[in-house]
Amino acid sequence: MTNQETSIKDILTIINQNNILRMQLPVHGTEIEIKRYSVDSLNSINEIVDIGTSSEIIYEYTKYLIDFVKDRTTLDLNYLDFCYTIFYVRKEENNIYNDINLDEVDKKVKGNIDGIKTPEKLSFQDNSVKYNIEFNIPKMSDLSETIKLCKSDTKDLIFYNIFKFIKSIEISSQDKKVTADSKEDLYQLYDVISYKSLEIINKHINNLTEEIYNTYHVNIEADTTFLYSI
Amino acid sequence: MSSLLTFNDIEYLTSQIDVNNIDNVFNFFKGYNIIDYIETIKNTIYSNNENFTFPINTKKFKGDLLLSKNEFLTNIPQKRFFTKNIDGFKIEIKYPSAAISTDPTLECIHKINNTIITEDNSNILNSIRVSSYKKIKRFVHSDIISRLNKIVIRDTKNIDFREQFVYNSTNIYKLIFYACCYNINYLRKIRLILSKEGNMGYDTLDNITVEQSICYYKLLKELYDKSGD
Repeated sequence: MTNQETSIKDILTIINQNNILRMQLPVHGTEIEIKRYSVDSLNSINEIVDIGTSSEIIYEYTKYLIDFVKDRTTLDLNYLDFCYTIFYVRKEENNIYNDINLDEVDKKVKGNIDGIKTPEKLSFQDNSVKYNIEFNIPKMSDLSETIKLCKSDTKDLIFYNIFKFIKSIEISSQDKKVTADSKEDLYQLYDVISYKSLEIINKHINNLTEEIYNTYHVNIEADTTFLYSI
Repeated sequence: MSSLLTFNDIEYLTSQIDVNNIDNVFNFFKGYNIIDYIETIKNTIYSNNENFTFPINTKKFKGDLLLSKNEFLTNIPQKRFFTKNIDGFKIEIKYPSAAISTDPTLECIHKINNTIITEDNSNILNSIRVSSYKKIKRFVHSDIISRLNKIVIRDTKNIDFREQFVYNSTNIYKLIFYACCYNINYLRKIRLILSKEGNMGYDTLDNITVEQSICYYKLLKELYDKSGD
């Protein structure tokens, strides 16, 4: 091995040692070591923001965020921990975003997250169809499964944003009753569900999404500039 | 590395400019540092001439501007390296290359802790954390690009004719036009005559400038004209 090759290895080791962050997951509770936000991740975002339409950008960015966290931990994180990981990695590179001091936000994250509850069961009727919907705060594996069903059009992004929080939907009409509890079944159901019903479901989860936004002061999944403009 | 562009270089570049193949022009200068590139153009232009004729066509003035070496491509910064200690690493930063890359900041990184960054080990750069990268980027802009932006293309006393250089691909590309100001057919005619009548092969034309080749061409013509008399 030449001297140059040795020093390249040495430098990579030093850089990688310097690139380790320790953070405590607010929901999981454990302290984990994760890789810092480095130039290769930034390059991937640069490629995404160069894509044509905004729905394509959001779609690719959503997939990117899932891979971004998967690349840093093997834990199947809860959605709130998933958002926190992205928030923390960003904060450690630059603690200011849109005049918001992310260190100050971080101090209140744990307390805010403790107050976030899974939305209660929702029951409503749309014409002759009765809906019973159960919600959950998804895990990363749920997010992966949900985004895999989507294409880059706006319709599918709406599915991702609403249905990632849905555990199951029980539909009953006249004497028939069926339950959709897999992401595939929920996606099929989404295709036939009325706009009015969708609006009711969306309003029901609004509280949760607002609480998550108020915890981080940024829409982690939708605001591409959060990781892009450091 | 600053040098002169030879007859072969200018003929090749002119042929590429003629068909608007910008990529090939930039590829030609891929190994050139921006300072070398600008100095090479200047050296080539003034290799056989005291002045450079620059055509002007404005509402106020139409004619040729004669620019001496002190009035064309001035304030070129001296080629050097800059050393910065960033987040525990000693980073040596250089001027960017003439062919603008997708990321001029990374391209300016010459060494990290005394290890030279080459195409083969450039994956090291991907591991740099974003906050360090941003610090390097700020330095490249404030201390390197700003020096390049002080270069003056036409440093005339008359403000109307003065032209400032700005570091971007358009300006870099524009400079090559000053050196490649010949008609491609004229250059091909010179090559043909010099190789046929002057016994000058490709290798010879790789060692002389266009202006020198024109001198040989004129000399040959003079000899032939005399022998015709």
